[in-house]
Amino acid sequence: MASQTRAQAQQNNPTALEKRQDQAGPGEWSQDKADVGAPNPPLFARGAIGVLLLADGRFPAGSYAHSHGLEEACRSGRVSDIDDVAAFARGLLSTSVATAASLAACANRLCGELASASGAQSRDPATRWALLDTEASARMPSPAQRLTSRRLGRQLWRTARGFPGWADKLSASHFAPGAEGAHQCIVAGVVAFAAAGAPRDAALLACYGTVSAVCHAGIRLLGLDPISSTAVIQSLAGQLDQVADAASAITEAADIPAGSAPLGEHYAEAHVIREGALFAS
Amino acid sequence: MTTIARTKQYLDLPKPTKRPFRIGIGGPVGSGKTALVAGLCKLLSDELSIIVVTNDIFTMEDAEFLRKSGVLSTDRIEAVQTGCCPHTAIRDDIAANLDALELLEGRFPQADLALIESGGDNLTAIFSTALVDAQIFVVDVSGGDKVPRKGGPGVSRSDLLVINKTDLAPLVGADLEVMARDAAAKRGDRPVLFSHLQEPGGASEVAGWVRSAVAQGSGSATGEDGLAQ
Repeated sequence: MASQTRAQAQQNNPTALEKRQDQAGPGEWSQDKADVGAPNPPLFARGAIGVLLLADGRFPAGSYAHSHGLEEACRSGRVSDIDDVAAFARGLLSTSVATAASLAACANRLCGELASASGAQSRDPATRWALLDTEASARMPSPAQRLTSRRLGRQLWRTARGFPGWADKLSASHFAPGAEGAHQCIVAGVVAFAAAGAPRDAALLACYGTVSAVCHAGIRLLGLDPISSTAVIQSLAGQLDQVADAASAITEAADIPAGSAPLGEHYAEAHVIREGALFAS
Repeated sequence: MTTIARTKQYLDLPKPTKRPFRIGIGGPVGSGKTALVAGLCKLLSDELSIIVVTNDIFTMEDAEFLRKSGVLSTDRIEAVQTGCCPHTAIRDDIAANLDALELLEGRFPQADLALIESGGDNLTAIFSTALVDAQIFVVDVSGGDKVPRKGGPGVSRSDLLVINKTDLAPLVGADLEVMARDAAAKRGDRPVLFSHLQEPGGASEVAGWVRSAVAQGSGSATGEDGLAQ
């Protein structure tokens, strides 16, 4: 469809995003509508700044250069407008992001256990971290995705170590990445712990980080409206919360869902050999 | 070697005992950054062990260009994708470039010189001092002689300004003397070199500057005024 025709069509027909806004049920993204008229309780406790820093797309750990498969999806022609980007983000939320969020929450919980005096004495930290690393690798079938995960993990770890205020909690977690680096989701859970975040905070940060990166990649790859693209993230708030709730409810690493999708894995592998790739994934 | 194979190799690498001198090469699209990297590798690789991180949109054509034109094997080159934000990768968020550098430095622990080529950007780009020890900004005369007058951090604060494609000056009506005067006004004592990089040995003057920068082992991108003019 020519772009002009598409624009005209969108004037007359609501987009999928607008339809979803109209049809959203309880617990969906429109939950804030229920509170219209009532005073808001504070969302941020004292000490929330560290977690806000981690949520900031400008946090200097290299996430801005990753599209999480969106570049390949655009090149394939399967994603070409804002509704496609929203659908792509929702697809990630129910698969790989749900897994990453669960791993982040488990890593964060493990930090808390090991940081407590009894935890450090009763368990072997290195073995427990190695086990979580294996659980993460086992849930990433694509070698390219595992490499990207470790690269982002190295970058986040390097950046987090540059924060003197986080050093004590990072040390207390007994976390030590191997030479090739740890998976991003696990490092994210550890760093969220250092930033005073709980398991659910770590899970929500994992969800938000990926969805935000995808929507901003859409702006750069397709020239989408930045306001509408950012509104997509807000429209997914209910799903982000649901994924974070489910992720933080998991207490055993073995129970973490193995969310993945064959096409996403294919995109990750195709991207590695893509001539003139713009994004790092 | 594939990216995957290269990164797997990272597992068993010794940590480097010394760090190479890191020089950033920035500048607008098409000004000659890749040609300069190739020229420097050709002129210096006999005396210095060189590694290269490129942030430019990297294709096999680029790798082949560097491999053919220099004496640089492809395992000495790492490509960093910048998600359409070349300036971010060298200034605001240098994580991916640091990771690539450490990968190469682990692979070549005795490397003397690391060249970090930025993606083609505009006049506002500048390298973070946390990423490089010194930086070269490359502009060319084909955009007209007003480029140095426009200034920007790269023109005014880089350790070396290279004005390339001097052979095109008469064709585009650019006055090299005006460019030299304007550059000096922006840069004070910081050096400016005119070049025609496509000529054989066209990078020799820049190579001389690089040689002495590596020998001194120090460089600073911080101007006395602290800010771009």
